Amino acid sequence: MFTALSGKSAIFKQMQVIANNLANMNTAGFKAEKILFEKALKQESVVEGSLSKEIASPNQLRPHDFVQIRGSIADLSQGAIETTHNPLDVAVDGEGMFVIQTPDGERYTRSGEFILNQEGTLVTQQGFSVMGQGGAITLGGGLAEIREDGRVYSNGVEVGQLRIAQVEAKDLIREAGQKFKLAEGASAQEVVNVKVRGGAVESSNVNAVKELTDMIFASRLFESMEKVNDSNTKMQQARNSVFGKPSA
Amino acid sequence: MKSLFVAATGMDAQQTRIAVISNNLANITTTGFKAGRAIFEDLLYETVNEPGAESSTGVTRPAGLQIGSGAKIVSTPSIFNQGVLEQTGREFDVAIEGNGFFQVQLPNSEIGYSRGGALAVNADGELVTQAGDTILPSVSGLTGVTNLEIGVDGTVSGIPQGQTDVTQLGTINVFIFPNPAGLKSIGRSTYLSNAASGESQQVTPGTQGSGTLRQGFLEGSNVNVAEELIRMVLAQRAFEMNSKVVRTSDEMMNAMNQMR
Repeated sequence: MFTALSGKSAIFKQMQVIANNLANMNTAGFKAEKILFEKALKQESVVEGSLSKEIASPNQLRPHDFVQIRGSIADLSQGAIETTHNPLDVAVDGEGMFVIQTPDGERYTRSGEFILNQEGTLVTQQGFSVMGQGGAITLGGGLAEIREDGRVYSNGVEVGQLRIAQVEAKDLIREAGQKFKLAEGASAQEVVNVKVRGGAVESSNVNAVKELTDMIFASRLFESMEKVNDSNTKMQQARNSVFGKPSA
Repeated sequence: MKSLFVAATGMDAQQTRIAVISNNLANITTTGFKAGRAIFEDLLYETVNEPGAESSTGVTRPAGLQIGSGAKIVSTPSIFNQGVLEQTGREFDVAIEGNGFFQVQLPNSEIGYSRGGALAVNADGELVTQAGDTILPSVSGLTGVTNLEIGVDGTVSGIPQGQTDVTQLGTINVFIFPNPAGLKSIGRSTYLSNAASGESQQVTPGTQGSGTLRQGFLEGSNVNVAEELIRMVLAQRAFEMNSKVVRTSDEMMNAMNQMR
Protein backbone atom coordinates (compact mmCIF):
# COMPACT_ATOMS: atom_id res chain seq x y z
CA MET A 1 0.00 0.00 0.00
CA PHE A 2 2.74 2.44 0.85
CA THR A 3 4.85 1.51 -2.18
CA ALA A 4 1.89 2.58 -4.31
CA LEU A 5 1.80 5.84 -2.40
CA SER A 6 5.49 6.63 -3.04
CA GLY A 7 4.96 5.86 -6.72
CA LYS A 8 2.07 8.27 -6.89
CA SER A 9 4.03 11.20 -5.53
CA ALA A 10 6.71 10.44 -8.14
CA ILE A 11 4.01 10.56 -10.82
CA PHE A 12 2.69 13.91 -9.57
CA LYS A 13 6.21 15.32 -9.82
CA GLN A 14 6.61 13.87 -13.30
CA MET A 15 3.27 15.36 -14.38
CA GLN A 16 4.45 18.77 -13.28
CA VAL A 17 7.73 18.43 -15.16
CA ILE A 18 5.78 17.36 -18.30
CA ALA A 19 3.37 20.28 -17.86
CA ASN A 20 6.29 22.71 -17.59
CA ASN A 21 8.00 21.22 -20.66
CA LEU A 22 4.80 21.47 -22.72
CA ALA A 23 4.09 25.00 -21.49
CA ASN A 24 7.56 25.94 -22.77
CA MET A 25 7.30 24.34 -26.23
CA ASN A 26 7.74 27.78 -27.80
CA THR A 27 10.16 29.34 -25.33
CA ALA A 28 13.36 30.15 -27.22
CA GLY A 29 16.45 28.56 -25.70
CA PHE A 30 14.35 26.41 -23.36
CA LYS A 31 15.86 23.02 -22.53
CA ALA A 32 13.48 20.20 -21.66
CA GLU A 33 13.78 18.77 -18.16
CA LYS A 34 14.27 15.01 -17.95
CA ILE A 35 13.42 13.02 -14.84
CA LEU A 36 15.83 10.40 -13.57
CA PHE A 37 14.04 7.42 -12.08
CA GLU A 38 15.25 4.66 -9.83
CA LYS A 39 13.52 1.69 -8.35
CA ALA A 40 12.81 2.46 -4.74
CA LEU A 41 14.21 -0.78 -3.37
CA LYS A 42 16.92 -1.58 -5.87
CA GLN A 43 18.99 1.56 -5.78
CA GLU A 44 21.34 0.61 -8.58
CA SER A 45 19.31 1.37 -11.68
CA VAL A 46 18.94 4.90 -12.92
CA VAL A 47 17.01 5.41 -16.09
CA GLU A 48 17.05 8.65 -18.00
CA GLY A 49 13.98 10.13 -19.45
CA SER A 50 10.81 8.18 -19.25
CA LEU A 51 8.82 5.90 -17.04
CA SER A 52 7.97 3.73 -19.99
CA LYS A 53 11.61 2.67 -20.36
CA GLU A 54 11.73 1.53 -16.74
CA ILE A 55 8.57 -0.51 -16.79
CA ALA A 56 7.61 -2.28 -19.99
CA SER A 57 3.90 -2.27 -19.35
CA PRO A 58 1.69 -1.21 -16.46
CA ASN A 59 0.26 -4.74 -16.42
CA GLN A 60 3.62 -6.18 -15.43
CA LEU A 61 3.80 -4.05 -12.31
CA ARG A 62 4.73 -5.66 -9.07
CA PRO A 63 4.44 -3.61 -5.90
CA HIS A 64 8.21 -3.47 -5.31
CA ASP A 65 8.73 -2.15 -8.83
CA PHE A 66 7.40 1.25 -7.94
CA VAL A 67 9.79 3.90 -8.86
CA GLN A 68 11.15 6.93 -7.14
CA ILE A 69 12.50 10.06 -8.67
CA ARG A 70 16.21 10.40 -8.20
CA GLY A 71 16.41 13.84 -9.68
CA SER A 72 15.93 15.79 -12.85
CA ILE A 73 18.37 17.10 -15.39
CA ALA A 74 18.25 19.50 -18.34
CA ASP A 75 18.37 17.93 -21.79
CA LEU A 76 21.01 20.12 -23.44
CA SER A 77 20.50 18.83 -26.99
CA GLN A 78 20.34 21.43 -29.76
CA GLY A 79 16.97 23.01 -30.54
CA ALA A 80 16.04 23.98 -34.10
CA ILE A 81 17.52 27.31 -35.23
CA GLU A 82 14.82 29.66 -36.48
CA THR A 83 15.65 32.77 -38.53
CA THR A 84 14.07 35.94 -37.15
CA HIS A 85 15.96 38.66 -39.09
CA ASN A 86 16.43 40.63 -35.86
CA PRO A 87 20.09 41.69 -35.80
CA LEU A 88 20.43 41.17 -32.05
CA ASP A 89 18.92 37.69 -32.00
CA VAL A 90 21.62 35.06 -31.79
CA ALA A 91 21.67 31.29 -31.43
CA VAL A 92 24.55 29.11 -30.24
CA ASP A 93 25.36 26.55 -32.91
CA GLY A 94 26.68 23.49 -31.08
CA GLU A 95 27.66 23.23 -27.43
CA GLY A 96 28.02 25.98 -24.88
CA MET A 97 25.94 28.78 -23.43
CA PHE A 98 25.93 32.57 -23.41
CA VAL A 99 27.34 34.04 -20.20
CA ILE A 100 25.17 36.74 -18.62
CA GLN A 101 25.75 38.91 -15.57
CA THR A 102 23.00 39.12 -12.96
CA PRO A 103 23.13 40.89 -9.56
CA ASP A 104 23.59 37.38 -8.07
CA GLY A 105 26.59 36.53 -10.25
CA GLU A 106 27.17 34.94 -13.64
CA ARG A 107 24.43 32.88 -15.22
CA TYR A 108 24.26 30.79 -18.39
CA THR A 109 21.59 30.73 -21.07
CA ARG A 110 20.86 29.44 -24.58
CA SER A 111 18.18 32.06 -25.08
CA GLY A 112 19.66 34.71 -27.38
CA GLU A 113 16.76 37.13 -27.86
CA PHE A 114 18.88 40.10 -26.86
CA ILE A 115 17.94 43.78 -26.76
CA LEU A 116 19.66 47.01 -25.69
CA ASN A 117 19.27 48.82 -22.39
CA GLN A 118 19.31 52.58 -21.69
CA GLU A 119 23.12 52.72 -22.00
CA GLY A 120 23.15 50.80 -25.30
CA THR A 121 24.49 47.66 -23.59
CA LEU A 122 23.51 44.27 -24.99
CA VAL A 123 21.13 42.69 -22.47
CA THR A 124 18.73 39.74 -22.21
CA GLN A 125 14.95 40.13 -22.22
CA GLN A 126 15.19 40.39 -18.41
CA GLY A 127 17.79 43.17 -18.67
CA PHE A 128 20.93 41.25 -17.63
CA SER A 129 24.16 42.19 -19.43
CA VAL A 130 25.41 39.72 -22.01
CA MET A 131 29.10 39.11 -21.37
CA GLY A 132 31.72 39.46 -24.06
CA GLN A 133 35.38 38.37 -23.87
CA GLY A 134 36.15 41.78 -22.34
CA GLY A 135 33.03 42.34 -20.26
CA ALA A 136 29.67 43.78 -21.22
CA ILE A 137 29.15 44.79 -24.86
CA THR A 138 27.97 48.33 -25.63
CA LEU A 139 26.70 49.30 -29.06
CA GLY A 140 26.45 52.77 -30.55
CA GLY A 141 23.85 53.98 -33.04
CA GLY A 142 23.60 52.54 -36.53
CA LEU A 143 23.23 48.97 -37.71
CA ALA A 144 24.22 46.05 -35.51
CA GLU A 145 25.50 42.69 -36.67
CA ILE A 146 26.56 39.52 -34.88
CA ARG A 147 28.88 37.35 -36.95
CA GLU A 148 29.43 33.61 -36.90
CA ASP A 149 32.49 33.82 -34.62
CA GLY A 150 30.46 35.77 -32.05
CA ARG A 151 31.99 39.14 -32.89
CA VAL A 152 29.52 41.99 -32.45
CA TYR A 153 29.70 44.89 -34.86
CA SER A 154 28.06 48.26 -34.38
CA ASN A 155 27.99 50.46 -37.47
CA GLY A 156 30.77 48.33 -38.97
CA VAL A 157 33.08 48.61 -35.94
CA GLU A 158 33.81 45.60 -33.72
CA VAL A 159 32.60 46.27 -30.16
CA GLY A 160 33.13 42.87 -28.57
CA GLN A 161 32.99 39.10 -28.95
CA LEU A 162 30.36 36.99 -27.20
CA ARG A 163 31.58 34.70 -24.43
CA ILE A 164 30.38 31.12 -24.72
CA ALA A 165 30.96 28.71 -21.85
CA GLN A 166 30.59 24.98 -21.78
CA VAL A 167 28.77 23.58 -18.77
CA GLU A 168 27.65 20.11 -17.77
CA ALA A 169 23.93 19.40 -17.48
CA LYS A 170 24.32 17.87 -14.03
CA ASP A 171 25.86 21.09 -12.65
CA LEU A 172 23.01 23.31 -13.77
CA ILE A 173 20.33 24.78 -11.53
CA ARG A 174 17.40 26.33 -13.39
CA GLU A 175 16.19 29.85 -12.85
CA ALA A 176 13.25 31.70 -14.43
CA GLY A 177 13.96 33.24 -17.82
CA GLN A 178 15.73 30.21 -19.36
CA LYS A 179 18.88 30.85 -17.36
CA PHE A 180 20.97 28.48 -15.33
CA LYS A 181 23.18 28.88 -12.29
CA LEU A 182 26.12 26.59 -11.61
CA ALA A 183 25.90 24.19 -8.69
CA GLU A 184 28.36 24.82 -5.88
CA GLY A 185 31.85 23.59 -6.69
CA ALA A 186 31.13 23.23 -10.42
CA SER A 187 32.92 25.29 -13.05
CA ALA A 188 32.30 26.32 -16.63
CA GLN A 189 34.80 25.94 -19.45
CA GLU A 190 35.28 28.83 -21.87
CA VAL A 191 34.73 27.87 -25.51
CA VAL A 192 37.57 29.23 -27.67
CA ASN A 193 36.11 28.63 -31.13
CA VAL A 194 32.79 30.37 -30.71
CA LYS A 195 30.16 29.44 -33.29
CA VAL A 196 26.89 31.35 -33.31
CA ARG A 197 24.17 32.33 -35.79
CA GLY A 198 23.11 35.96 -35.85
CA GLY A 199 19.56 36.97 -36.80
CA ALA A 200 18.24 33.66 -35.52
CA VAL A 201 17.05 32.09 -32.28
CA GLU A 202 17.22 28.55 -30.99
CA SER A 203 13.77 27.05 -30.54
CA SER A 204 12.78 25.04 -27.49
CA ASN A 205 14.02 21.43 -27.67
CA VAL A 206 10.87 20.00 -26.07
CA ASN A 207 9.73 16.87 -27.91
CA ALA A 208 5.94 17.06 -27.70
CA VAL A 209 5.44 13.43 -28.76
CA LYS A 210 7.71 12.16 -25.98
CA GLU A 211 6.04 14.39 -23.39
CA LEU A 212 2.53 13.30 -24.40
CA THR A 213 3.51 9.61 -24.42
CA ASP A 214 5.05 10.00 -20.98
CA MET A 215 1.91 11.72 -19.76
CA ILE A 216 -0.37 8.97 -21.06
CA PHE A 217 1.90 6.37 -19.51
CA ALA A 218 1.97 8.24 -16.20
CA SER A 219 -1.80 8.45 -16.07
CA ARG A 220 -2.21 4.73 -16.86
CA LEU A 221 0.38 3.85 -14.23
CA PHE A 222 -1.53 6.01 -11.79
CA GLU A 223 -4.73 4.05 -12.50
CA SER A 224 -2.89 0.76 -11.94
CA MET A 225 -1.68 2.06 -8.60
CA GLU A 226 -5.24 2.93 -7.66
CA LYS A 227 -6.17 -0.69 -8.45
CA VAL A 228 -3.37 -1.96 -6.20
CA ASN A 229 -4.75 0.26 -3.44
CA ASP A 230 -8.23 -0.99 -4.11
CA SER A 231 -7.26 -4.67 -3.93
CA ASN A 232 -5.22 -3.99 -0.78
CA THR A 233 -8.33 -2.53 0.81
CA LYS A 234 -10.42 -5.51 -0.31
CA MET A 235 -7.88 -7.98 1.07
CA GLN A 236 -7.88 -6.18 4.39
CA GLN A 237 -11.67 -6.19 4.47
CA ALA A 238 -11.71 -9.94 3.72
CA ARG A 239 -9.15 -10.61 6.45
CA ASN A 240 -11.09 -8.51 8.91
CA SER A 241 -14.30 -10.42 8.20
CA VAL A 242 -12.57 -13.78 8.79
CA PHE A 243 -10.28 -12.96 11.71
CA GLY A 244 -11.88 -9.82 13.08
CA LYS A 245 -10.21 -6.41 13.16
CA PRO A 246 -6.61 -6.33 14.37
CA SER A 247 -6.63 -5.06 17.96
CA ALA A 248 -3.92 -2.42 17.46
CA MET B 1 -1.96 19.03 -8.55
CA LYS B 2 0.30 21.91 -9.47
CA SER B 3 0.48 20.60 -13.06
CA LEU B 4 -3.02 22.07 -13.60
CA PHE B 5 -1.73 25.59 -13.02
CA VAL B 6 1.46 24.97 -14.97
CA ALA B 7 -0.61 23.88 -17.98
CA ALA B 8 -2.87 26.92 -17.53
CA THR B 9 0.12 29.27 -17.95
CA GLY B 10 0.97 27.44 -21.18
CA MET B 11 -2.60 27.82 -22.49
CA ASP B 12 -2.61 31.49 -21.59
CA ALA B 13 0.69 32.13 -23.41
CA GLN B 14 -0.47 30.24 -26.52
CA GLN B 15 -3.65 32.32 -26.54
CA THR B 16 -1.60 35.53 -26.58
CA ARG B 17 0.50 34.05 -29.40
CA ILE B 18 -2.68 33.41 -31.42
CA ALA B 19 -3.69 37.04 -30.83
CA VAL B 20 -0.33 38.16 -32.32
CA ILE B 21 -0.81 35.82 -35.29
CA SER B 22 -4.36 37.07 -35.93
CA ASN B 23 -3.12 40.67 -35.90
CA ASN B 24 -0.47 39.69 -38.47
CA LEU B 25 -3.07 38.01 -40.67
CA ALA B 26 -5.42 40.99 -40.37
CA ASN B 27 -2.60 43.17 -41.74
CA ILE B 28 -1.54 41.16 -44.77
CA THR B 29 -2.44 44.06 -47.04
CA THR B 30 -1.37 46.94 -44.78
CA THR B 31 1.36 49.03 -46.43
CA GLY B 32 4.59 49.03 -44.40
CA PHE B 33 3.18 46.65 -41.78
CA LYS B 34 5.74 44.49 -39.98
CA ALA B 35 4.75 41.11 -38.58
CA GLY B 36 4.92 40.62 -34.83
CA ARG B 37 6.30 37.63 -32.99
CA ALA B 38 5.56 36.40 -29.46
CA ILE B 39 8.57 35.77 -27.23
CA PHE B 40 8.11 33.18 -24.49
CA GLU B 41 9.92 32.89 -21.18
CA ASP B 42 9.89 30.18 -18.51
CA LEU B 43 8.71 30.95 -14.97
CA LEU B 44 10.19 30.28 -11.54
CA TYR B 45 11.54 26.90 -10.53
CA GLU B 46 10.98 25.12 -7.27
CA THR B 47 14.26 23.46 -6.30
CA VAL B 48 13.33 20.29 -4.41
CA ASN B 49 16.94 19.07 -4.23
CA GLU B 50 20.08 20.97 -5.22
CA PRO B 51 22.46 19.05 -7.43
CA GLY B 52 25.48 17.92 -5.45
CA ALA B 53 23.59 18.25 -2.16
CA GLU B 54 23.76 15.46 0.41
CA SER B 55 20.66 13.36 0.89
CA SER B 56 19.40 12.32 4.34
CA THR B 57 21.28 9.03 4.00
CA GLY B 58 24.57 10.86 3.43
CA VAL B 59 24.76 10.10 -0.29
CA THR B 60 25.70 12.95 -2.63
CA ARG B 61 22.97 13.40 -5.22
CA PRO B 62 24.25 13.27 -8.79
CA ALA B 63 21.41 15.48 -10.03
CA GLY B 64 19.06 17.94 -8.40
CA LEU B 65 15.32 17.95 -8.73
CA GLN B 66 13.74 21.08 -10.06
CA ILE B 67 10.11 21.60 -10.90
CA GLY B 68 9.06 24.48 -13.11
CA SER B 69 5.90 26.52 -13.01
CA GLY B 70 5.14 27.20 -16.67
CA ALA B 71 5.63 29.88 -19.30
CA LYS B 72 4.61 33.44 -20.09
CA ILE B 73 4.97 35.87 -22.99
CA VAL B 74 7.53 38.60 -22.28
CA SER B 75 7.43 40.65 -25.44
CA THR B 76 5.97 40.82 -28.94
CA PRO B 77 8.56 42.58 -31.11
CA SER B 78 8.08 43.22 -34.82
CA ILE B 79 10.22 41.47 -37.39
CA PHE B 80 11.75 44.00 -39.77
CA ASN B 81 12.57 41.96 -42.83
CA GLN B 82 11.72 43.47 -46.19
CA GLY B 83 8.12 43.51 -47.37
CA VAL B 84 7.32 42.98 -51.04
CA LEU B 85 7.78 46.12 -53.20
CA GLU B 86 4.66 46.86 -55.17
CA GLN B 87 4.85 49.16 -58.17
CA THR B 88 2.24 51.93 -58.05
CA GLY B 89 3.73 54.47 -60.47
CA ARG B 90 2.56 57.28 -58.20
CA GLU B 91 5.33 59.89 -57.89
CA PHE B 92 4.77 60.43 -54.15
CA ASP B 93 5.03 56.74 -53.31
CA VAL B 94 8.43 55.88 -51.88
CA ALA B 95 9.54 52.51 -50.56
CA ILE B 96 12.70 51.83 -48.56
CA GLU B 97 14.55 48.86 -50.02
CA GLY B 98 16.70 47.63 -47.14
CA ASN B 99 17.16 48.87 -43.58
CA GLY B 100 15.88 52.11 -42.18
CA PHE B 101 12.84 54.24 -41.39
CA PHE B 102 11.43 57.63 -42.30
CA GLN B 103 11.38 59.99 -39.32
CA VAL B 104 8.04 61.72 -38.79
CA GLN B 105 6.69 64.47 -36.55
CA LEU B 106 3.70 63.05 -34.70
CA PRO B 107 0.72 65.31 -33.78
CA ASN B 108 1.54 64.97 -30.04
CA SER B 109 5.01 66.50 -30.80
CA GLU B 110 6.73 63.12 -30.40
CA ILE B 111 9.10 61.80 -33.04
CA GLY B 112 7.99 58.61 -34.76
CA TYR B 113 9.52 56.22 -37.27
CA SER B 114 7.70 54.59 -40.15
CA ARG B 115 8.32 52.66 -43.34
CA GLY B 116 4.96 53.58 -44.81
CA GLY B 117 5.93 55.58 -47.91
CA ALA B 118 2.58 56.64 -49.39
CA LEU B 119 3.52 60.33 -49.12
CA ALA B 120 1.64 63.50 -50.00
CA VAL B 121 2.05 67.29 -49.85
CA ASN B 122 0.17 69.23 -47.15
CA ALA B 123 -1.23 72.78 -47.32
CA ASP B 124 2.15 74.24 -46.30
CA GLY B 125 3.88 72.51 -49.21
CA GLU B 126 5.63 70.02 -46.88
CA LEU B 127 6.13 66.32 -47.54
CA VAL B 128 3.86 64.36 -45.20
CA THR B 129 2.86 60.75 -44.68
CA GLN B 130 -0.61 59.46 -45.47
CA ALA B 131 -1.59 60.16 -41.86
CA GLY B 132 -0.49 63.79 -42.26
CA ASP B 133 2.69 63.53 -40.19
CA THR B 134 5.52 65.73 -41.51
CA ILE B 135 8.62 63.91 -42.76
CA LEU B 136 11.75 65.02 -40.86
CA PRO B 137 14.05 66.66 -41.77
CA SER B 138 11.31 68.53 -43.52
CA VAL B 139 11.17 68.83 -47.30
CA SER B 140 9.09 71.92 -48.13
CA GLY B 141 8.11 74.20 -51.01
CA LEU B 142 6.44 71.38 -52.88
CA THR B 143 3.14 73.11 -53.68
CA GLY B 144 2.52 72.97 -57.41
CA VAL B 145 5.83 71.22 -58.16
CA THR B 146 5.80 69.17 -61.34
CA ASN B 147 8.12 66.37 -62.58
CA LEU B 148 8.85 65.39 -58.98
CA GLU B 149 11.76 62.98 -58.70
CA ILE B 150 12.99 61.20 -55.63
CA GLY B 151 16.40 59.64 -56.13
CA VAL B 152 17.64 56.39 -54.61
CA ASP B 153 19.79 58.53 -52.25
CA GLY B 154 16.75 60.54 -51.12
CA THR B 155 17.33 63.65 -53.23
CA VAL B 156 13.99 65.35 -54.00
CA SER B 157 13.94 67.43 -57.16
CA GLY B 158 11.30 68.86 -59.48
CA ILE B 159 10.15 71.92 -61.37
CA PRO B 160 8.66 74.50 -58.96
CA GLN B 161 5.49 76.32 -59.90
CA GLY B 162 6.07 79.02 -62.49
CA GLN B 163 9.59 77.87 -63.39
CA THR B 164 10.99 75.74 -66.17
CA ASP B 165 14.20 74.24 -64.71
CA VAL B 166 14.57 71.21 -62.48
CA THR B 167 15.67 72.32 -59.00
CA GLN B 168 16.77 70.27 -55.97
CA LEU B 169 14.13 70.82 -53.32
CA GLY B 170 15.43 68.79 -50.39
CA THR B 171 16.57 65.40 -49.20
CA ILE B 172 14.75 62.54 -47.54
CA ASN B 173 16.99 60.81 -45.01
CA VAL B 174 16.50 57.42 -43.43
CA PHE B 175 17.12 56.52 -39.80
CA ILE B 176 18.67 53.23 -38.73
CA PHE B 177 18.60 51.47 -35.37
CA PRO B 178 20.92 48.92 -33.74
CA ASN B 179 17.87 46.94 -32.58
CA PRO B 180 14.72 47.72 -34.61
CA ALA B 181 12.96 44.82 -32.81
CA GLY B 182 13.01 46.99 -29.68
CA LEU B 183 10.90 49.75 -31.28
CA LYS B 184 7.51 50.39 -29.73
CA SER B 185 4.64 49.98 -32.17
CA ILE B 186 1.93 52.64 -31.86
CA GLY B 187 -0.20 51.47 -34.80
CA ARG B 188 -0.48 53.07 -38.28
CA SER B 189 2.80 51.25 -39.10
CA THR B 190 4.54 53.84 -36.90
CA TYR B 191 7.04 53.18 -34.13
CA LEU B 192 8.63 55.08 -31.25
CA SER B 193 12.30 54.70 -30.36
CA ASN B 194 13.29 53.75 -26.83
CA ALA B 195 16.19 52.32 -24.84
CA ALA B 196 15.66 48.79 -26.19
CA SER B 197 15.83 49.87 -29.84
CA GLY B 198 18.93 52.03 -29.30
CA GLU B 199 19.58 55.49 -30.67
CA SER B 200 18.58 56.27 -34.22
CA GLN B 201 21.23 57.41 -36.67
CA GLN B 202 20.37 59.74 -39.53
CA VAL B 203 21.97 58.60 -42.77
CA THR B 204 21.76 59.23 -46.49
CA PRO B 205 19.81 56.34 -48.06
CA GLY B 206 22.21 53.69 -49.32
CA THR B 207 25.04 54.51 -46.91
CA GLN B 208 26.17 52.76 -43.73
CA GLY B 209 24.12 49.67 -44.42
CA SER B 210 20.86 51.51 -44.86
CA GLY B 211 18.43 50.85 -47.68
CA THR B 212 17.85 52.93 -50.81
CA LEU B 213 14.64 54.67 -51.84
CA ARG B 214 12.41 53.52 -54.68
CA GLN B 215 10.07 56.11 -56.13
CA GLY B 216 6.82 54.78 -57.54
CA PHE B 217 6.81 51.77 -55.25
CA LEU B 218 5.18 50.92 -51.93
CA GLU B 219 6.40 48.34 -49.47
CA GLY B 220 3.70 45.79 -48.81
CA SER B 221 3.18 44.01 -45.51
CA ASN B 222 5.95 41.51 -44.68
CA VAL B 223 3.46 39.01 -43.27
CA ASN B 224 4.08 35.59 -44.78
CA VAL B 225 0.60 34.11 -44.88
CA ALA B 226 1.70 30.48 -45.20
CA GLU B 227 4.12 30.86 -42.29
CA GLU B 228 1.50 32.55 -40.11
CA LEU B 229 -1.06 29.83 -40.85
CA ILE B 230 1.47 27.17 -39.88
CA ARG B 231 2.25 29.10 -36.69
CA MET B 232 -1.46 29.27 -35.95
CA VAL B 233 -1.83 25.49 -36.35
CA LEU B 234 1.22 24.96 -34.11
CA ALA B 235 -0.13 27.34 -31.48
CA GLN B 236 -3.49 25.61 -31.56
CA ARG B 237 -1.90 22.19 -31.13
CA ALA B 238 0.33 23.47 -28.33
CA PHE B 239 -2.79 24.86 -26.67
CA GLU B 240 -4.47 21.46 -26.99
CA MET B 241 -1.46 19.67 -25.52
CA ASN B 242 -1.54 21.97 -22.52
CA SER B 243 -5.25 21.40 -22.13
CA LYS B 244 -4.57 17.66 -22.28
CA VAL B 245 -2.32 18.08 -19.25
CA VAL B 246 -5.25 19.76 -17.49
CA ARG B 247 -7.54 16.85 -18.44
CA THR B 248 -5.05 14.18 -17.35
CA SER B 249 -4.40 15.93 -14.04
CA ASP B 250 -8.13 16.14 -13.51
CA GLU B 251 -8.55 12.42 -14.20
CA MET B 252 -5.86 11.64 -11.66
CA MET B 253 -7.57 13.78 -9.05
CA ASN B 254 -10.83 12.06 -9.86
CA ALA B 255 -9.20 8.64 -9.42
CA MET B 256 -7.80 9.81 -6.11
CA ASN B 257 -11.23 10.87 -4.91
CA GLN B 258 -12.55 7.38 -5.70
CA MET B 259 -9.85 5.89 -3.45
CA ARG B 260 -11.22 3.85 -0.57
